[in-house]
Amino acid sequence: MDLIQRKTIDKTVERFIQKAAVEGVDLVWDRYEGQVPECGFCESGLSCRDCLQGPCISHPFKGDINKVGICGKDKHILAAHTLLRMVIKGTMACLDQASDIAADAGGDSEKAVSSLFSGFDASNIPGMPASVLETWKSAGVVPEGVVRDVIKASQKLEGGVTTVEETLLWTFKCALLGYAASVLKGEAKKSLFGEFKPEVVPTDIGALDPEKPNLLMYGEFSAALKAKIAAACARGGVGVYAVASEPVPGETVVPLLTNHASQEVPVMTGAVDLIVAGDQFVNPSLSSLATQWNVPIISVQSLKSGPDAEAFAVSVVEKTKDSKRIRASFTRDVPGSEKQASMGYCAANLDMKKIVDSIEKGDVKGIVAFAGYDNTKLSQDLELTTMAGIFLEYGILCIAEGDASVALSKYGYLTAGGDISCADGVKATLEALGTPAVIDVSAYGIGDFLCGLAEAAGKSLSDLPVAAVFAEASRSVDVMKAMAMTAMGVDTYFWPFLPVTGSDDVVKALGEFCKATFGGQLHVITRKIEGRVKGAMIVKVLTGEEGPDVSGNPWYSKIGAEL
Amino acid sequence: MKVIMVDQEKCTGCHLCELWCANEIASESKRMPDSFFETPQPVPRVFVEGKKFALQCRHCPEAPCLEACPNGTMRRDPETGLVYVHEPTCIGCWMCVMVCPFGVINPYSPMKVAVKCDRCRNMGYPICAEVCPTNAISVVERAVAQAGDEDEEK
Repeated sequence: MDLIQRKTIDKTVERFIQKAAVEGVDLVWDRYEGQVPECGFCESGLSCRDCLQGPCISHPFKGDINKVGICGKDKHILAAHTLLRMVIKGTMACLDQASDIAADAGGDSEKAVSSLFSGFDASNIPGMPASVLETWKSAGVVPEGVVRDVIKASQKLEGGVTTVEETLLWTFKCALLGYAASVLKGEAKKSLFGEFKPEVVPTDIGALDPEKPNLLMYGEFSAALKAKIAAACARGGVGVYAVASEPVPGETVVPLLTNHASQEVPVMTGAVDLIVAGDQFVNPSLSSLATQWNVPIISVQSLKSGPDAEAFAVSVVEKTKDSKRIRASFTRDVPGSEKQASMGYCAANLDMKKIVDSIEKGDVKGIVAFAGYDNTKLSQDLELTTMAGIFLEYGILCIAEGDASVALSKYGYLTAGGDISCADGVKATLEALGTPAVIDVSAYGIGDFLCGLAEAAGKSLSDLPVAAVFAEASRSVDVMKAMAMTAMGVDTYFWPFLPVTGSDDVVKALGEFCKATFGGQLHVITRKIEGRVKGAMIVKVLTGEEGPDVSGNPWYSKIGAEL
Repeated sequence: MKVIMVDQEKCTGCHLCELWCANEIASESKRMPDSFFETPQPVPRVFVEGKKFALQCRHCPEAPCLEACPNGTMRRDPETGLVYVHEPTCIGCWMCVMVCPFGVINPYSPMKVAVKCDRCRNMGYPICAEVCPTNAISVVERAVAQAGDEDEEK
């Protein structure tokens, strides 16, 4: 039963949390406190409601009573099924994103994404090392398409006598299809917008222009539609921004205002005049919050197809201007907290050979890939920034994607020429690469970078000092990506711990079994430890050296103290 | 004296009271899921069995367990009126288990002691009432609880 002491370390967000408390506005942290204590059975993966005979639980305490569900699922199968259920949802999210952009891109991209549904050939995943494909083949987890992977895997939830390990392999198979979908989404973006180039993207809520009519795009929906809306806004003199979203491709630079947990905060500035929202990663609370600030909100995922994308983009620009006129009485309270983030790096536009040389020379002792959305169960951004700070100081190069990049950018980690303290070897490597302290690879994701690294090094990923860290994860797509990274041979750390901890067998299988099968393991760490201890632990695993001194006041952490 | 009252209409039988009772009161680690794997297994002091109803010690005004205990292990707190087990002196004779009319005293064989709800007398508020998602479990004066029982009988 954990209530967090500090909701966020983002000073801007903290200011608005106080404002919300004064004005009686419920934010995500208030709702989290309302839910505590969360259901211990669900949190440990020991519950099931796949049929109407339940809901069932496996009771961890009552001797031999209540150990198996009505159909006979024991704690191990219940936990494995909980994980599978999350991964199926995450895979669906990636398939949806890929389908959206492929429909806009057309041609080969559309054909490639269509093949994800049936008869998918995994050797068509661009950049995937042959050794990884071979490992997947021996384990029987090569993705073959929705029909064979997602539909078949989902039937495990209906029953059967599949063992825990085989259920986990089906879960991996499903996750890898989701990963393939995210790679093909990147390819479709490339065909539509050309190769990604690094560019400076304003981030943080201070990027809002209080003088302009402002349109916010929330969550993930078609990147092509986002680019059209952004272009129409630029033509019409309307400010356009994105929240809980990947960087928006296209010619108009779209500032990324904040990360997932604090997505309600921009509305509270009063400087938002219209919201265009997708479904993925958008809190339903946004709707009532927007009503309080009289902000029209338009969903792009309605049952009836609306006008074409171009006409839609023009119409929302006009609506934003009208809304600003109507909302003239609202105070526009925008804090001055804008940051400039260098984003848009990928294996194709980075000198991967240089990074490999730095690893071989010992200048870079390891690479950590940050990913995942944030989670109200942890102080927002604290774990992420604490770990990034430790890794850079101890000679570990950091890359990040998506929401993790946005979070890090708020503290200057993505600002070129920033004053983030780095070990000399890392500093020299970053200077040679021309990148900021943390390299944003949101364009094609951490998988693209890691595969590029393996290719440049001529080694498999399990033989390189790399780790994937989901420091404050929350969405099912994070779970899916963590599984995919593990299957690619990357040691993966995931916090808060996955809902499988009720089964020691599943936890062990994600460690030892995955290490033996794929070369990477998915660490499920249940001990309550703070960010600097996590950082020290990973430093030791990657470099073999003792990390920072983690003795002293348990509440102390560098970033927290500085703020 | 304050006792725990369970509203039968509100109890959904979710077993969360059992889970948290075993974790917070009986386990060493006090942290899920570590507590799940402790040996001996922690035992909850509240029971949800059969019909959807959480059952725990009623701290009877005339408690048969107090009478049956041969060596004064079962005691009543003079200030609060709560009945509790003084574990260091329990000899595991299970007399209290046999005489309890509600069946809410458990023989905890691994440690050879009887275990029962003491209404979390060393905590501010009973954990079962704290975690109950429907507020089916509450702490009220005994007179209020008895009045509730009588209303139900009518």
